[in-house]
Amino acid sequence: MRGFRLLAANPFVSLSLCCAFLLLGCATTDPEQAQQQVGGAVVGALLGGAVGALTSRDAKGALVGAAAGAALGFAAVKLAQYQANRVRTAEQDAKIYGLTPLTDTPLVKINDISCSSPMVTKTDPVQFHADYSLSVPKSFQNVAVQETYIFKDKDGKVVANLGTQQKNLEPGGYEVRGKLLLPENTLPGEYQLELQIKAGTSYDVSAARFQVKG
Amino acid sequence: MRFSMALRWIFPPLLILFHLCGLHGLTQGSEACREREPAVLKSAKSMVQSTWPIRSTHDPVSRFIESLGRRLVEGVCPGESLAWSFHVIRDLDLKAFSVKGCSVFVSDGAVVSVGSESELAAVLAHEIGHHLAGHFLDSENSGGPRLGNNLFVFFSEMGASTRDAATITTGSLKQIDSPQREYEADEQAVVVLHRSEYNPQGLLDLIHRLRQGGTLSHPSERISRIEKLLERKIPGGRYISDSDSFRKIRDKIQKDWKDLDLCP
Repeated sequence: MRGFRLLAANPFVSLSLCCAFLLLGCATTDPEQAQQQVGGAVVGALLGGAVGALTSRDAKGALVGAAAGAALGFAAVKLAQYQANRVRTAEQDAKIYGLTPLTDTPLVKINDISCSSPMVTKTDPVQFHADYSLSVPKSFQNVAVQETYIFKDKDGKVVANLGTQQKNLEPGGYEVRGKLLLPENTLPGEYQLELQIKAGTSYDVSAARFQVKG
Repeated sequence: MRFSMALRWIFPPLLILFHLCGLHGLTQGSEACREREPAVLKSAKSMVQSTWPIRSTHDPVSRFIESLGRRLVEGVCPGESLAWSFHVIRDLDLKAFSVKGCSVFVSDGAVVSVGSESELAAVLAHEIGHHLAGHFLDSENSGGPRLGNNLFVFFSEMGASTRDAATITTGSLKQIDSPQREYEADEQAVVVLHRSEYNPQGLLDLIHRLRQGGTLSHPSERISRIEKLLERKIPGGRYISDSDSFRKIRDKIQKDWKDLDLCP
Protein backbone atom coordinates (compact mmCIF):
# COMPACT_ATOMS: atom_id res chain seq x y z
CA MET A 1 0.00 0.00 0.00
CA ARG A 2 2.79 2.33 0.97
CA GLY A 3 4.48 1.55 -2.32
CA PHE A 4 1.42 2.50 -4.28
CA ARG A 5 1.09 5.82 -2.36
CA LEU A 6 4.72 6.54 -3.17
CA LEU A 7 4.10 5.68 -6.77
CA ALA A 8 1.18 8.10 -6.97
CA ALA A 9 2.64 10.97 -4.99
CA ASN A 10 6.23 11.18 -6.06
CA PRO A 11 7.12 13.30 -9.11
CA PHE A 12 10.00 11.00 -9.96
CA VAL A 13 7.56 8.19 -10.51
CA SER A 14 5.57 10.35 -12.87
CA LEU A 15 8.80 11.13 -14.63
CA SER A 16 9.39 7.45 -15.09
CA LEU A 17 6.11 7.16 -16.92
CA CYS A 18 7.28 9.98 -19.20
CA CYS A 19 10.29 7.83 -20.05
CA ALA A 20 7.91 5.20 -21.30
CA PHE A 21 6.13 7.72 -23.51
CA LEU A 22 9.44 9.08 -24.76
CA LEU A 23 10.22 5.59 -25.95
CA LEU A 24 6.93 5.60 -27.78
CA GLY A 25 8.24 8.46 -29.83
CA CYS A 26 10.68 6.12 -31.52
CA ALA A 27 8.62 5.68 -34.65
CA THR A 28 8.37 2.46 -36.56
CA THR A 29 7.16 2.01 -40.10
CA ASP A 30 4.59 -0.64 -39.18
CA PRO A 31 1.58 0.82 -37.30
CA GLU A 32 0.64 -2.59 -35.87
CA GLN A 33 4.16 -3.04 -34.55
CA ALA A 34 4.18 0.51 -33.15
CA GLN A 35 0.89 -0.10 -31.37
CA GLN A 36 2.13 -3.34 -29.83
CA GLN A 37 5.36 -1.72 -28.72
CA VAL A 38 3.50 1.20 -27.13
CA GLY A 39 1.42 -1.23 -25.13
CA GLY A 40 4.50 -3.17 -24.10
CA ALA A 41 6.36 -0.05 -23.01
CA VAL A 42 3.47 1.38 -20.95
CA VAL A 43 2.78 -1.89 -19.19
CA GLY A 44 6.51 -2.39 -18.66
CA ALA A 45 6.97 1.12 -17.21
CA LEU A 46 4.02 0.78 -14.83
CA LEU A 47 5.05 -2.64 -13.61
CA GLY A 48 8.71 -1.67 -13.41
CA GLY A 49 7.88 1.53 -11.49
CA ALA A 50 5.66 -0.33 -9.04
CA VAL A 51 8.25 -3.01 -8.42
CA GLY A 52 11.01 -0.40 -8.06
CA ALA A 53 8.94 1.62 -5.56
CA LEU A 54 7.97 -1.42 -3.52
CA THR A 55 11.44 -2.83 -3.33
CA SER A 56 13.56 0.29 -2.82
CA ARG A 57 10.91 2.48 -1.12
CA ASP A 58 12.27 5.62 -2.76
CA ALA A 59 11.64 7.57 -5.88
CA LYS A 60 14.98 6.71 -7.48
CA GLY A 61 14.19 3.02 -7.25
CA ALA A 62 10.80 3.59 -8.84
CA LEU A 63 12.40 5.55 -11.67
CA VAL A 64 14.98 2.89 -12.36
CA GLY A 65 12.31 0.21 -12.23
CA ALA A 66 10.04 2.12 -14.59
CA ALA A 67 12.81 2.75 -17.11
CA ALA A 68 13.86 -0.90 -17.06
CA GLY A 69 10.27 -2.04 -17.36
CA ALA A 70 9.61 0.30 -20.25
CA ALA A 71 12.69 -0.91 -22.06
CA LEU A 72 11.75 -4.54 -21.56
CA GLY A 73 8.19 -3.91 -22.65
CA PHE A 74 9.37 -2.05 -25.69
CA ALA A 75 11.72 -4.84 -26.60
CA ALA A 76 8.94 -7.43 -26.88
CA VAL A 77 9.03 -9.44 -30.09
CA LYS A 78 5.55 -10.15 -31.43
CA LEU A 79 3.86 -12.65 -33.65
CA ALA A 80 1.27 -11.03 -35.92
CA GLN A 81 -1.23 -11.95 -38.64
CA TYR A 82 -1.10 -15.60 -37.63
CA GLN A 83 -3.13 -17.80 -39.96
CA ALA A 84 -3.36 -21.60 -39.97
CA ASN A 85 -5.29 -23.65 -42.50
CA ARG A 86 -5.79 -27.31 -43.29
CA VAL A 87 -4.38 -27.64 -46.81
CA ARG A 88 -4.35 -31.45 -47.22
CA THR A 89 -6.65 -34.22 -46.09
CA ALA A 90 -5.21 -37.26 -44.34
CA GLU A 91 -5.49 -39.20 -47.62
CA GLN A 92 -3.63 -36.51 -49.56
CA ASP A 93 -0.96 -36.44 -46.86
CA ALA A 94 -0.63 -40.22 -46.99
CA LYS A 95 -0.15 -40.04 -50.77
CA ILE A 96 2.70 -37.57 -50.33
CA TYR A 97 4.35 -39.00 -47.23
CA GLY A 98 3.02 -42.54 -47.10
CA LEU A 99 2.59 -43.51 -43.48
CA THR A 100 0.09 -43.67 -40.68
CA PRO A 101 1.03 -44.13 -37.02
CA LEU A 102 2.25 -47.48 -35.86
CA THR A 103 0.52 -47.47 -32.55
CA ASP A 104 -2.60 -45.95 -31.08
CA THR A 105 -0.97 -42.56 -30.61
CA PRO A 106 -0.99 -39.54 -32.97
CA LEU A 107 2.02 -38.56 -35.03
CA VAL A 108 3.05 -35.01 -35.86
CA LYS A 109 5.81 -33.95 -38.24
CA ILE A 110 7.01 -30.49 -39.29
CA ASN A 111 7.65 -30.66 -43.02
CA ASP A 112 8.96 -27.15 -43.41
CA ILE A 113 9.47 -23.85 -41.66
CA SER A 114 11.01 -20.94 -43.50
CA CYS A 115 11.23 -17.18 -43.56
CA SER A 116 10.50 -15.18 -46.70
CA SER A 117 13.91 -13.60 -46.65
CA PRO A 118 17.11 -14.83 -45.03
CA MET A 119 18.23 -11.21 -44.47
CA VAL A 120 15.91 -8.57 -42.97
CA THR A 121 16.10 -5.13 -41.44
CA LYS A 122 14.69 -4.64 -37.97
CA THR A 123 11.95 -2.37 -39.29
CA ASP A 124 10.63 -5.02 -41.68
CA PRO A 125 8.27 -7.67 -40.41
CA VAL A 126 9.71 -11.16 -40.92
CA GLN A 127 7.22 -13.22 -42.87
CA PHE A 128 7.28 -16.92 -42.08
CA HIS A 129 5.67 -20.06 -43.42
CA ALA A 130 5.34 -23.48 -41.79
CA ASP A 131 3.85 -26.75 -42.94
CA TYR A 132 3.16 -29.78 -40.79
CA SER A 133 1.36 -33.11 -41.00
CA LEU A 134 -0.83 -34.72 -38.41
CA SER A 135 -1.61 -38.44 -38.57
CA VAL A 136 -3.95 -40.11 -36.13
CA PRO A 137 -5.01 -43.71 -35.58
CA LYS A 138 -8.32 -44.73 -37.13
CA SER A 139 -10.08 -44.63 -33.77
CA PHE A 140 -9.48 -40.87 -33.54
CA GLN A 141 -11.25 -38.10 -35.43
CA ASN A 142 -9.63 -35.09 -33.81
CA VAL A 143 -6.61 -34.69 -31.65
CA ALA A 144 -5.37 -31.91 -29.36
CA VAL A 145 -2.39 -30.14 -30.94
CA GLN A 146 -0.20 -27.50 -29.35
CA GLU A 147 1.86 -25.10 -31.51
CA THR A 148 4.46 -22.95 -29.75
CA TYR A 149 6.64 -20.27 -31.33
CA ILE A 150 9.93 -19.26 -29.75
CA PHE A 151 12.29 -16.47 -30.82
CA LYS A 152 15.89 -17.52 -30.21
CA ASP A 153 19.34 -16.15 -30.84
CA LYS A 154 21.80 -17.99 -33.06
CA ASP A 155 23.06 -20.12 -30.18
CA GLY A 156 19.58 -21.32 -29.31
CA LYS A 157 19.13 -19.08 -26.28
CA VAL A 158 15.50 -18.06 -25.81
CA VAL A 159 14.93 -14.35 -26.50
CA ALA A 160 11.15 -14.43 -26.28
CA ASN A 161 8.33 -16.94 -26.07
CA LEU A 162 5.88 -15.79 -28.73
CA GLY A 163 2.94 -17.80 -27.48
CA THR A 164 1.15 -21.10 -27.82
CA GLN A 165 -1.82 -22.06 -29.94
CA GLN A 166 -4.00 -24.86 -28.59
CA LYS A 167 -6.17 -26.56 -31.19
CA ASN A 168 -8.27 -29.61 -31.80
CA LEU A 169 -7.40 -30.79 -35.29
CA GLU A 170 -8.44 -33.40 -37.81
CA PRO A 171 -5.66 -35.44 -39.43
CA GLY A 172 -4.10 -33.91 -42.52
CA GLY A 173 -1.63 -31.27 -43.61
CA TYR A 174 -1.59 -27.77 -42.15
CA GLU A 175 -0.05 -24.56 -43.38
CA VAL A 176 0.75 -21.65 -41.08
CA ARG A 177 1.61 -18.12 -42.17
CA GLY A 178 2.42 -15.11 -40.05
CA LYS A 179 4.72 -12.20 -39.36
CA LEU A 180 7.35 -11.72 -36.74
CA LEU A 181 7.58 -8.11 -35.58
CA LEU A 182 11.01 -7.17 -34.28
CA PRO A 183 11.55 -4.28 -31.86
CA GLU A 184 13.62 -1.27 -32.91
CA ASN A 185 16.34 -2.18 -30.45
CA THR A 186 16.97 -5.61 -32.01
CA LEU A 187 20.70 -6.10 -32.32
CA PRO A 188 22.08 -7.10 -35.72
CA GLY A 189 22.91 -10.78 -36.00
CA GLU A 190 21.48 -14.22 -36.64
CA TYR A 191 18.21 -15.32 -35.04
CA GLN A 192 15.89 -18.30 -35.18
CA LEU A 193 12.15 -18.67 -35.18
CA GLU A 194 11.51 -22.07 -33.62
CA LEU A 195 8.26 -23.97 -34.01
CA GLN A 196 7.40 -26.69 -31.50
CA ILE A 197 4.41 -28.94 -32.15
CA LYS A 198 3.00 -31.57 -29.83
CA ALA A 199 0.23 -34.11 -30.35
CA GLY A 200 -0.14 -36.97 -27.89
CA THR A 201 3.30 -38.41 -27.22
CA SER A 202 4.66 -37.23 -30.57
CA TYR A 203 6.42 -33.90 -30.91
CA ASP A 204 8.59 -32.11 -33.43
CA VAL A 205 10.84 -29.08 -33.33
CA SER A 206 12.20 -27.10 -36.25
CA ALA A 207 13.55 -23.60 -36.77
CA ALA A 208 13.96 -21.05 -39.55
CA ARG A 209 17.10 -18.93 -39.35
CA PHE A 210 17.40 -15.36 -40.54
CA GLN A 211 19.84 -12.49 -40.31
CA VAL A 212 18.96 -9.03 -39.01
CA LYS A 213 21.01 -6.34 -40.75
CA GLY A 214 22.62 -3.55 -38.77
CA MET B 1 51.24 -89.31 -53.89
CA ARG B 2 47.66 -90.16 -54.87
CA PHE B 3 46.57 -89.41 -51.35
CA SER B 4 48.12 -85.96 -51.42
CA MET B 5 46.51 -85.28 -54.84
CA ALA B 6 43.16 -86.33 -53.43
CA LEU B 7 43.66 -84.04 -50.47
CA ARG B 8 44.50 -81.18 -52.81
CA TRP B 9 41.09 -81.61 -54.52
CA ILE B 10 38.99 -82.41 -51.48
CA PHE B 11 40.41 -80.00 -48.92
CA PRO B 12 39.42 -76.64 -50.50
CA PRO B 13 35.72 -77.54 -50.97
CA LEU B 14 35.68 -78.96 -47.42
CA LEU B 15 37.22 -75.78 -46.10
CA ILE B 16 34.61 -73.66 -47.84
CA LEU B 17 31.83 -75.91 -46.54
CA PHE B 18 33.06 -75.68 -42.92
CA HIS B 19 33.45 -71.95 -43.24
CA LEU B 20 29.90 -71.53 -44.52
CA CYS B 21 28.46 -73.77 -41.78
CA GLY B 22 30.32 -71.85 -39.10
CA LEU B 23 29.05 -68.50 -40.26
CA HIS B 24 25.50 -69.61 -40.78
CA GLY B 25 24.90 -70.51 -37.14
CA LEU B 26 24.48 -67.17 -35.42
CA THR B 27 24.84 -64.46 -37.99
CA GLN B 28 23.45 -65.40 -41.32
CA GLY B 29 26.32 -63.71 -42.84
CA SER B 30 27.79 -60.50 -44.03
CA GLU B 31 25.36 -60.71 -46.93
CA ALA B 32 22.66 -59.84 -44.43
CA CYS B 33 24.89 -57.11 -42.99
CA ARG B 34 24.64 -55.26 -46.24
CA GLU B 35 21.38 -56.55 -47.67
CA ARG B 36 20.65 -56.32 -51.35
CA GLU B 37 18.98 -53.86 -53.65
CA PRO B 38 20.07 -50.70 -51.87
CA ALA B 39 18.19 -48.47 -54.29
CA VAL B 40 14.86 -50.13 -53.53
CA LEU B 41 15.60 -50.51 -49.85
CA LYS B 42 16.15 -46.82 -49.38
CA SER B 43 12.48 -46.21 -50.02
CA ALA B 44 11.27 -47.58 -46.69
CA LYS B 45 13.91 -45.61 -44.80
CA SER B 46 13.21 -42.35 -46.62
CA MET B 47 9.48 -42.91 -46.17
CA VAL B 48 9.89 -43.15 -42.41
CA GLN B 49 12.24 -40.17 -42.35
CA SER B 50 9.79 -38.02 -44.27
CA THR B 51 6.85 -38.90 -42.03
CA TRP B 52 8.20 -39.27 -38.52
CA PRO B 53 9.71 -36.49 -36.43
CA ILE B 54 13.38 -37.42 -36.34
CA ARG B 55 16.19 -35.72 -34.42
CA SER B 56 18.79 -34.21 -36.74
CA THR B 57 22.01 -36.12 -37.35
CA HIS B 58 23.93 -33.30 -35.59
CA ASP B 59 21.91 -33.71 -32.41
CA PRO B 60 24.01 -35.18 -29.54
CA VAL B 61 21.33 -37.82 -28.88
CA SER B 62 21.40 -38.91 -32.53
CA ARG B 63 25.19 -39.00 -32.52
CA PHE B 64 25.24 -41.20 -29.41
CA ILE B 65 22.70 -43.66 -30.84
CA GLU B 66 24.52 -43.73 -34.19
CA SER B 67 27.80 -44.45 -32.44
CA LEU B 68 26.27 -47.15 -30.23
CA GLY B 69 24.58 -48.78 -33.23
CA ARG B 70 27.76 -48.79 -35.28
CA ARG B 71 29.72 -50.34 -32.43
CA LEU B 72 27.17 -53.14 -32.22
CA VAL B 73 27.33 -53.76 -35.97
CA GLU B 74 31.13 -53.74 -35.97
CA GLY B 75 31.05 -56.53 -33.37
CA VAL B 76 29.45 -58.94 -35.84
CA CYS B 77 30.14 -57.41 -39.24
CA PRO B 78 33.56 -55.73 -39.09
CA GLY B 79 33.92 -52.92 -41.62
CA GLU B 80 30.22 -52.91 -42.48
CA SER B 81 28.87 -50.37 -40.01
CA LEU B 82 28.89 -47.45 -42.45
CA ALA B 83 26.14 -49.16 -44.42
CA TRP B 84 23.84 -48.84 -41.40
CA SER B 85 21.92 -45.90 -40.04
CA PHE B 86 20.38 -45.29 -36.64
CA HIS B 87 17.83 -42.58 -35.97
CA VAL B 88 16.08 -41.07 -32.96
CA ILE B 89 12.35 -40.34 -33.14
CA ARG B 90 10.94 -37.46 -31.14
CA ASP B 91 8.33 -39.31 -29.13
CA LEU B 92 7.74 -39.73 -25.41
CA ASP B 93 6.41 -43.24 -25.94
CA LEU B 94 8.46 -46.44 -26.20
CA LYS B 95 9.17 -47.03 -29.87
CA ALA B 96 11.85 -48.97 -31.70
CA PHE B 97 11.69 -50.55 -35.11
CA SER B 98 13.76 -51.43 -38.11
CA VAL B 99 13.05 -51.20 -41.81
CA LYS B 100 14.85 -52.44 -44.85
CA GLY B 101 18.00 -50.64 -45.84
CA CYS B 102 19.81 -51.42 -42.54
CA SER B 103 17.89 -48.67 -40.78
CA VAL B 104 16.98 -48.73 -37.13
CA PHE B 105 14.75 -46.19 -35.35
CA VAL B 106 14.41 -45.68 -31.60
CA SER B 107 12.37 -43.08 -29.72
CA ASP B 108 13.41 -40.58 -27.06
CA GLY B 109 10.99 -42.37 -24.75
CA ALA B 110 12.76 -45.69 -25.22
CA VAL B 111 16.17 -44.15 -24.49
CA VAL B 112 14.88 -42.58 -21.28
CA SER B 113 12.91 -45.62 -20.15
CA VAL B 114 15.61 -48.29 -20.34
CA GLY B 115 17.40 -49.13 -17.11
CA SER B 116 20.96 -49.04 -18.42
CA GLU B 117 23.12 -48.58 -21.50
CA SER B 118 23.25 -52.35 -22.01
CA GLU B 119 19.43 -52.42 -22.13
CA LEU B 120 19.45 -49.68 -24.77
CA ALA B 121 22.13 -51.64 -26.66
CA ALA B 122 19.82 -54.67 -26.40
CA VAL B 123 16.98 -52.78 -28.12
CA LEU B 124 19.27 -51.80 -31.00
CA ALA B 125 20.89 -55.25 -31.11
CA HIS B 126 17.46 -56.88 -31.42
CA GLU B 127 16.59 -54.64 -34.36
CA ILE B 128 19.99 -55.32 -35.93
CA GLY B 129 19.20 -58.99 -35.30
CA HIS B 130 16.17 -58.84 -37.60
CA HIS B 131 18.49 -57.79 -40.42
CA LEU B 132 21.17 -60.35 -39.58
CA ALA B 133 18.58 -63.11 -39.41
CA GLY B 134 17.59 -62.23 -42.97
CA HIS B 135 14.01 -61.32 -42.10
CA PHE B 136 13.83 -58.62 -44.71
CA LEU B 137 15.31 -60.90 -47.33
CA ASP B 138 12.90 -63.68 -46.35
CA SER B 139 9.90 -61.62 -47.25
CA GLU B 140 11.09 -61.37 -50.82
CA ASN B 141 12.13 -64.98 -51.16
CA SER B 142 8.83 -66.21 -49.81
CA GLY B 143 6.86 -64.26 -52.35
CA GLY B 144 5.99 -61.58 -49.80
CA PRO B 145 6.10 -57.85 -50.40
CA ARG B 146 8.82 -56.99 -52.90
CA LEU B 147 9.45 -53.38 -52.13
CA GLY B 148 11.07 -53.93 -48.79
CA ASN B 149 8.04 -52.62 -46.97
CA ASN B 150 8.33 -54.72 -43.84
CA LEU B 151 8.82 -53.28 -40.42
CA PHE B 152 9.69 -55.00 -37.14
CA VAL B 153 8.70 -53.38 -33.87
CA PHE B 154 10.39 -54.01 -30.55
CA PHE B 155 7.80 -52.55 -28.20
CA SER B 156 4.17 -53.37 -28.68
CA GLU B 157 1.01 -53.54 -26.69
CA MET B 158 -0.15 -56.80 -28.15
CA GLY B 159 0.78 -58.77 -25.04
CA ALA B 160 1.67 -62.44 -25.12
CA SER B 161 0.58 -63.86 -28.41
CA THR B 162 1.14 -67.24 -29.95
CA ARG B 163 -0.40 -66.57 -33.33
CA ASP B 164 1.56 -67.10 -36.48
CA ALA B 165 3.13 -64.39 -38.55
CA ALA B 166 0.63 -61.65 -39.16
CA THR B 167 0.90 -58.34 -40.89
CA ILE B 168 -0.55 -55.13 -39.58
CA THR B 169 -0.77 -52.60 -42.34
CA THR B 170 0.47 -49.16 -41.38
CA GLY B 171 0.15 -47.05 -44.47
CA SER B 172 2.76 -48.21 -46.93
CA LEU B 173 4.65 -50.38 -44.46
CA LYS B 174 3.58 -53.67 -42.98
CA GLN B 175 4.35 -54.33 -39.36
CA ILE B 176 5.29 -57.97 -38.97
CA ASP B 177 4.12 -59.69 -35.82
CA SER B 178 5.85 -63.06 -35.87
CA PRO B 179 6.89 -64.76 -32.61
CA GLN B 180 9.40 -66.92 -34.45
CA ARG B 181 11.12 -63.91 -35.99
CA GLU B 182 11.24 -62.17 -32.63
CA TYR B 183 12.95 -65.24 -31.09
CA GLU B 184 15.46 -65.27 -33.93
CA ALA B 185 16.17 -61.57 -33.53
CA ASP B 186 16.67 -62.10 -29.77
CA GLU B 187 19.12 -64.89 -30.51
CA GLN B 188 21.07 -62.65 -32.84
CA ALA B 189 20.92 -59.81 -30.32
CA VAL B 190 22.57 -61.89 -27.60
CA VAL B 191 25.49 -62.57 -29.92
CA VAL B 192 25.68 -58.96 -31.10
CA LEU B 193 25.79 -57.74 -27.50
CA HIS B 194 28.41 -60.30 -26.48
CA ARG B 195 30.70 -59.52 -29.40
CA SER B 196 30.50 -55.78 -28.85
CA GLU B 197 31.20 -56.23 -25.13
CA TYR B 198 27.77 -55.14 -23.95
CA ASN B 199 26.21 -57.27 -21.25
CA PRO B 200 23.80 -59.71 -22.97
CA GLN B 201 21.96 -59.92 -19.66
CA GLY B 202 20.68 -56.43 -20.61
CA LEU B 203 18.26 -58.02 -23.08
CA LEU B 204 16.84 -60.30 -20.41
CA ASP B 205 16.56 -57.45 -17.88
CA LEU B 206 14.77 -55.32 -20.45
CA ILE B 207 12.27 -58.01 -21.37
CA HIS B 208 11.53 -58.69 -17.69
CA ARG B 209 10.90 -54.98 -17.19
CA LEU B 210 8.69 -54.69 -20.27
CA ARG B 211 6.68 -57.74 -19.32
CA GLN B 212 5.56 -55.91 -16.19
CA GLY B 213 4.48 -52.93 -18.28
CA GLY B 214 2.73 -55.10 -20.89
CA THR B 215 4.61 -53.44 -23.73
CA LEU B 216 6.19 -56.47 -25.32
CA SER B 217 4.94 -59.30 -27.47
CA HIS B 218 5.45 -62.93 -26.40
CA PRO B 219 7.50 -62.12 -23.26
CA SER B 220 7.37 -65.46 -21.40
CA GLU B 221 8.63 -67.56 -24.27
CA ARG B 222 11.27 -64.98 -25.11
CA ILE B 223 12.54 -64.93 -21.54
CA SER B 224 12.87 -68.68 -21.36
CA ARG B 225 14.66 -68.85 -24.72
CA ILE B 226 17.09 -66.06 -23.83
CA GLU B 227 17.87 -67.64 -20.47
CA LYS B 228 18.75 -70.91 -22.19
CA LEU B 229 20.85 -69.08 -24.73
CA LEU B 230 22.78 -67.20 -22.06
CA GLU B 231 23.46 -70.43 -20.18
CA ARG B 232 24.58 -72.41 -23.21
CA LYS B 233 26.28 -70.08 -25.63
CA ILE B 234 27.57 -67.02 -23.86
CA PRO B 235 30.63 -67.27 -21.65
CA GLY B 236 30.95 -64.88 -18.74
CA GLY B 237 33.18 -61.87 -19.18
CA ARG B 238 33.71 -58.21 -18.47
CA TYR B 239 30.92 -56.32 -20.11
CA ILE B 240 29.80 -52.71 -20.38
CA SER B 241 26.56 -52.15 -18.55
CA ASP B 242 26.43 -48.40 -18.24
CA SER B 243 28.47 -45.26 -18.91
CA ASP B 244 28.59 -41.54 -18.14
CA SER B 245 27.96 -40.77 -21.82
CA PHE B 246 24.70 -42.69 -21.71
CA ARG B 247 23.58 -40.95 -18.53
CA LYS B 248 24.42 -37.54 -20.07
CA ILE B 249 22.34 -38.37 -23.14
CA ARG B 250 19.41 -39.45 -21.01
CA ASP B 251 19.70 -36.20 -19.03
CA LYS B 252 19.85 -34.23 -22.28
CA ILE B 253 16.57 -35.76 -23.50
CA GLN B 254 14.90 -35.03 -20.18
CA LYS B 255 16.17 -31.44 -20.31
CA ASP B 256 14.79 -31.08 -23.86
CA TRP B 257 11.43 -32.34 -22.64
CA LYS B 258 11.49 -29.89 -19.74
CA ASP B 259 12.37 -26.98 -22.06
CA LEU B 260 9.51 -27.98 -24.35
CA ASP B 261 7.19 -28.34 -21.37
CA LEU B 262 6.53 -31.99 -22.25
CA CYS B 263 5.22 -34.32 -19.59
CA PRO B 264 5.90 -38.01 -20.18
